[in-house]
This record gives sequence, structure tokens and C-alpha cells, in this order.
Amino acid sequence: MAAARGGIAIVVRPALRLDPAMSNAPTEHEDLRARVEAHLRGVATSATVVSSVVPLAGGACQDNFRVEAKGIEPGTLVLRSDALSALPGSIDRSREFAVIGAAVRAGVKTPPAHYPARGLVREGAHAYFLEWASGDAIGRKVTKSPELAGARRKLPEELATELAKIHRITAASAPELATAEVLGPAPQEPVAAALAFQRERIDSLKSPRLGIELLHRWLTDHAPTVTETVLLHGDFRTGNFLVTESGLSAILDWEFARWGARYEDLAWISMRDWRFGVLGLPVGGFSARAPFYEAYEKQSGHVVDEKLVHWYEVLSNLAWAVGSVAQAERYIYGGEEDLELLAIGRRASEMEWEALRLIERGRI
Amino acid sequence: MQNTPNKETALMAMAKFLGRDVRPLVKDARVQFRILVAESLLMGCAGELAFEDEHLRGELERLFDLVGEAPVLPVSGAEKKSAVGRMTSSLRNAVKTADADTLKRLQAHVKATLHDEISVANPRFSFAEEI
Repeated sequence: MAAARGGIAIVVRPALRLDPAMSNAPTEHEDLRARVEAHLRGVATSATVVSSVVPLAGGACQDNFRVEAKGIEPGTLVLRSDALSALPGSIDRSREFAVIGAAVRAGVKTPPAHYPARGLVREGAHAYFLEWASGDAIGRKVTKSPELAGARRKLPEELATELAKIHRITAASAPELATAEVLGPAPQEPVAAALAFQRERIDSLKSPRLGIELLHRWLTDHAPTVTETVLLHGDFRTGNFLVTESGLSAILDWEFARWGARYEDLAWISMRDWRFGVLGLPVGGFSARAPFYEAYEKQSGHVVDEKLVHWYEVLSNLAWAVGSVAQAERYIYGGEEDLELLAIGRRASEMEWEALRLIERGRI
Repeated sequence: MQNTPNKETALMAMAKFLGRDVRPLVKDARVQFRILVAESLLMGCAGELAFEDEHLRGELERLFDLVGEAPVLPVSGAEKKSAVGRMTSSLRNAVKTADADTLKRLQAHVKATLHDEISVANPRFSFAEEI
């Protein structure tokens, strides 16, 4: 799995093929627009005319651009390219393209990906184009906006339905994903694999923390037995799906897809940090646990074990504490001077606190 | 080191300037968001400076007790941070083989340290055991 996860240390990629200052600018960039147009003319239709390529706000991990084009359908696309550096566990856009294809074939509500490319935005970087989907992904809007109140009532069932579809994908049903070029083989022991992966991530940190070390020890001492391995979205939480007033519009951001225990996804969505301040609604800041678990059980046929959710929620907080420190290290050592990365790093303490709170509480 | 205003006041003033005078003028959502992040970082740093000595002293006292060293507080801030780093590193290495009682004491120390860090960096954070 380690190779499929793209290595443990921060992956530093070649410099952007734009002026880095311009990559954050709100205006379209002519060089990139021309390259995108040439690419789409080659792989889609020669009649393609690209009118704009504009960086999208949000997303601390990948470079995303809104592309407006004529001559192809659909004409509004999202160009998604590997960023300058990546978190451990992040798959590149070539692997992500394959995962999205499998998800679309399984009927998951996620925008189809087209026209894979390499070197379009940055030398050597993989990229592809997603069909544009409408809706809000911003956490505080999804959890608090009055306009989305009706949608929030539907989300537990809608998200549980999509998650069950994702978890029906296995290495046996989608062998094309179990190759070294995509996700690698599925681990036989997903708990041991998850703990080993976190151990490698912890050891790769340049700023190790005592709290993280304690959490890993607790998780190791209390490791459950899980034998089933399924496809995980890997970052299934508020902020990574689009919501309109009608409800769930699309599941996004497959960059942490991997094989593992379904409880990794089931717990991740309830992490305190992904509740966006609505602490009393543990599923993503929009629902109690019961409606979500009941819908998931109905759709998947799998009975949710809340003891396992508890262990995996501690693991999730550990993983995001490590991820937070690693995000700051992307700024400090990875050449990505984005203030958001620094700010995320300073929040590792909150995840450590929450994990210790869960351990002391003994249940979710 | 007698500059007036002091570092905390200067950092808070920069945060206020960004939030009150700069952010409303910026149209680009991506840049607006990063101004908000900058404000938050500046306020967090100002808070840390204000409480740094008190928090370092508390952390050192707990660490001396955990590692069994005589509680001799270093004089300078740099020496205090260096002592915290040295003892924390030693405890980190001991976690894998620590017994249950030691783990319980380490956990209490980490929680106290995290409480200090978070209360400054995110004053709205709830420390309630039931959330």
C-alpha cells in the first residue's frame, strides 16, 4: 500500500508552469488557457474554443481551475491537477482518474472525469477534467445556511446511499483498481495496515508530537479485528460533497481513495473538525448518528458497530492531527507558500485533544 | 526591549487592520479567505506571546516531575524551550514501552499542555467532556 499511497515523505513536484504568483490570481491566464485549448482540441474535438481558465477558491491539496469552453459538451469543466506537493496518502491525478471511473461505473453520484493529461499545468503533473457540478461545498454553508435546511434533512440518507455504493466496490469487483498503477492490492488486515501507515506518517514528520505518539500507542493496544476490505473514499466529510437546495449534488475529492475498513469512512465524517462548529450533530454537523447509520445499514446490509466507530474516530483524529502537521510542513519544507497550510498545522492540538477526550469517554 | 507598543499589541493591530480595512476591499474569494487566515494567525501569535511564559513554566514543571529531574527553571525563554524540547523528546521515545500508570500521567500532561495551546489559539474551542 505504501507505494500506492505515493510514498511517505512529502512529495515535491516540479514548479508550476505559470508564474507562481499568478496561480493564485483570480484572473485567467493566457498561457494555460492556450495549453488547455490545444489539449482539448487533441483529445475531444478540434472545434474546441476555450474562453477562460480561472483558479477556483478552496481546496488546500490540489490545483483546481474552472474551464469554460465551446465546441464540446459539457462546456463547463473543472481542470484538476497535481499540486506542487502532496500529503502522504494522496494519490496523483492519474490514479484518481481511474478511481473516479470505477465510482461512476458503480453508480456513485460523482462528476465523471475526462481527457486525462500530463504536464498541462505543471511539468510532469497529472491532470484531468471533471464535468462541472452545481452546489455548495463550504462547510459552514452546508451546516448552517438557512437555504440548505431542507437539504440537510435529506443528507443522512443520500450520503449513506452513496457511501454504501462506494463500499460495494472491492478489489474482486474492480480488479483494475488493485494494480500497482492505481491503488495496489487490498490489504488482508486493514487495521494493521492503517496503523502501519500512520506509524510511517508519524515517523516522517519533522515536528513530532508527544500527543500523537500517545494516541498511536492507545490505538495499537486496543486494535480491533476487521477482516473485510473495501474501496474507501478516504476523505468522506462535509466540505467534500456539493449540496444544493434539493439535496446532495455530488461527491468530490477522491485523492485519498484507498482500500481499507469501511469504518474509516464511517468515522471520518463524524470527526469533530468536520462538524464545522455544530458539535451536537456528530455526522458532518448536519445529522445525529442514528439516521445516518440506519440508512447505511439499509443500503449496505452491514450492521454498524458503534464500538468500531469509536476506535476509528480516535484513529481519524490521530490521522488528521498528523495530516495537519504535514500540511504545515508542505509550507515550511515543500515550497508551497499558502497561509492556509500554516493555519491548518497550528490546529493539530485540537485533533489530539478530541482523540484523548474520546479515549477517556470510552464511547462515541 | 522597551519598544512601545509591544509585540502583542503590534500583532493585534495588524490583525485588526487586515480584517477591518483590507478584507472588505478584496473581491477575490480565495484572497479574502487567506486574509481571514492571516488575521487568525496574527491573533493566535499575539495570544501565545502574552501567555508564553506562564504556559512554558507550567509545562516545564510537569515535565520535570515526569522525567524525575530537579525542578530548576531555566532563566531565558530560549533555554526553557530547549528544556521542553529535550524532555518531551525523551518522553516520546518512552511511550512505546511505557506501563499503564506512566501512560496515564503522560496523558494528563499532554491534555494540560493542549489545553494551554488551544485556549490561546482558538478561544471558542469547547473543552467540555460531553459535546
